[in-house]
Amino acid sequence: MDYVEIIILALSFFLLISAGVPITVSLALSSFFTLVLTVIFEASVTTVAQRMINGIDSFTLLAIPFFILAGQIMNSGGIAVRLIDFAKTLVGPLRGGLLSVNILACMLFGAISGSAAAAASAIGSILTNKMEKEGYDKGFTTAVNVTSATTGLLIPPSNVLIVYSLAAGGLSIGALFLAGYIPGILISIVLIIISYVYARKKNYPKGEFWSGSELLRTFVRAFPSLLLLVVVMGGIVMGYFTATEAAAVAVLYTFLLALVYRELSWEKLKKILVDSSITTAIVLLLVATSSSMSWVMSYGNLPQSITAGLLSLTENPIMILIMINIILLLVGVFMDITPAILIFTPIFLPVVQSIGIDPIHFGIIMVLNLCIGLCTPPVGNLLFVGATVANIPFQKVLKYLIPLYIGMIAVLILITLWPQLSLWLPELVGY
Amino acid sequence: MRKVLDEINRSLLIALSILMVLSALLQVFARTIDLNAQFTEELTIFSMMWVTLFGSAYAFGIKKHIAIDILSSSLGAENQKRLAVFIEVVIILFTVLILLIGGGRFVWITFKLGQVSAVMHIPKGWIYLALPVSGLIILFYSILNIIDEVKKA
Repeated sequence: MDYVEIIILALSFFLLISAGVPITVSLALSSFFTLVLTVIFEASVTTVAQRMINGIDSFTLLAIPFFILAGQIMNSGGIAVRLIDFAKTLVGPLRGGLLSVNILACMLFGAISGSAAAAASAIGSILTNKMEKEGYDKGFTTAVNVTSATTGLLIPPSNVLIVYSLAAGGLSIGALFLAGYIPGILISIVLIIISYVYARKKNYPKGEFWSGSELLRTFVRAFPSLLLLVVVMGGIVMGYFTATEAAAVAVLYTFLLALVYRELSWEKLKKILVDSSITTAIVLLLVATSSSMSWVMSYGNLPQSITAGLLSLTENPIMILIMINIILLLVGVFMDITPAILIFTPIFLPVVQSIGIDPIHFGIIMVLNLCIGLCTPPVGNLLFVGATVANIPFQKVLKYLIPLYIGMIAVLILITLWPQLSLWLPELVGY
Repeated sequence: MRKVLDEINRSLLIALSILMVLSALLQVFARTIDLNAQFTEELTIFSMMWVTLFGSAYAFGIKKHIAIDILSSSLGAENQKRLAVFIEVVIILFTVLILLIGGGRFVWITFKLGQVSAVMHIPKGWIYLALPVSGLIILFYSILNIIDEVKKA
């Protein structure tokens, strides 16, 4: 690819997205602008359209709409309350226990619903008032709620990991899912430790101590929702069904559960179907348009040029991973996680593979890295959702976020340098 | 106008989602009883493609597609309006070039080549027709959005 083409591609894309043009449109148009330099007009527009439709002609991709739909059905239920009650009996008695309850409940809810934003809003809206009444600082509780919601993106089932699998050219979703457990749980533990230290300093109240029978009772109430995680992951790992089929079963399961709990009416169901179609369309149109962009890039050998360029700077794997991590942290500040994965996986994966990094390991690094960006302004979906449900301006949350950012970055460094944290579980199961 | 378009879109999305879920579940079920139901895979994928394209059109109407709106929030009201109109014009450019001309040509080529789907033998042009049709819907929405923007005092 000529430098002219690289410049046109990067510049037109950058100008369009900074003007506020939807990222999907920017991807398709900048692909077209680049292609039309060397190919006739009719062929250029047709190729972009064709690549878009090819990008979504995939059975694996179907897992995404199904997990979105299952998550939406789950959201309408009283599941958040049940998970919070269960978390309370487990970690409530700690100093500042409600913070830990928030973290644990967010992790479980995020894993089940697959949506970090849904976790932050469902769990946050229930716990914020309670914590404020007990004297917790609202800025800190919001910061904890927002950061802990990211763990749901690492702990399976996770749509961003499916998106990464596709962007990486079809990695095993089962292996990626398994790889996400330990890093996701590590983040939760680090957040709990930071909250505990903060709570001791501020002398926040302890929650009451719950008896074993209380623990059992809340567990039984939360069990049907938690079972979903077991069914989905068990089914995929045992090879009983594909990720797509598991997701379809999850839809059926959550639907039946909502019927049993009498939380579903036809009107509500219609709204859920429309909302989940819109979310699906937003994600999949990104997949479609970014596949036209990555086609244009590989048509012009762009990934190879970038690999060669980076490797000419240094061949030290750790230095390269550090550089990529810094670039991704900056990207995450300005871009949502799904488009960032779709755009930067085809660019960086060849680089890291050439220095012997496992693509599964890199996927976890990338997702964890971009999760941090979800909690930072100016583009930080989770931060805005969290601040909105807590009814506090997001600027007031920022200073409380700093220790939590540091904790997340510490985990990121650990995950980056220690591949076994991601790869041990999938290897154990035989991927 | 917008209301009618919204209502049609919503009904279409509901029907397509239900079709998508049912055919995927049928596939899982058919496999457990060793029934040959290969058509379900195609049906599920095709309904997903349509959900994506028509859902996207709807999302353009309500401006839900992911964008970086830092610039807009740093502008005054008058310039914000101008920028919003500019963005809609860029969306129209995308729609006309890629979805209507590109998508239209792609549909035409697929019909001409006589491509059919592997299992159900549906001419693939019908599936891809969602590209230009959703393009038309986006075009309508963008024009309506511009009108709304200009009317805003």
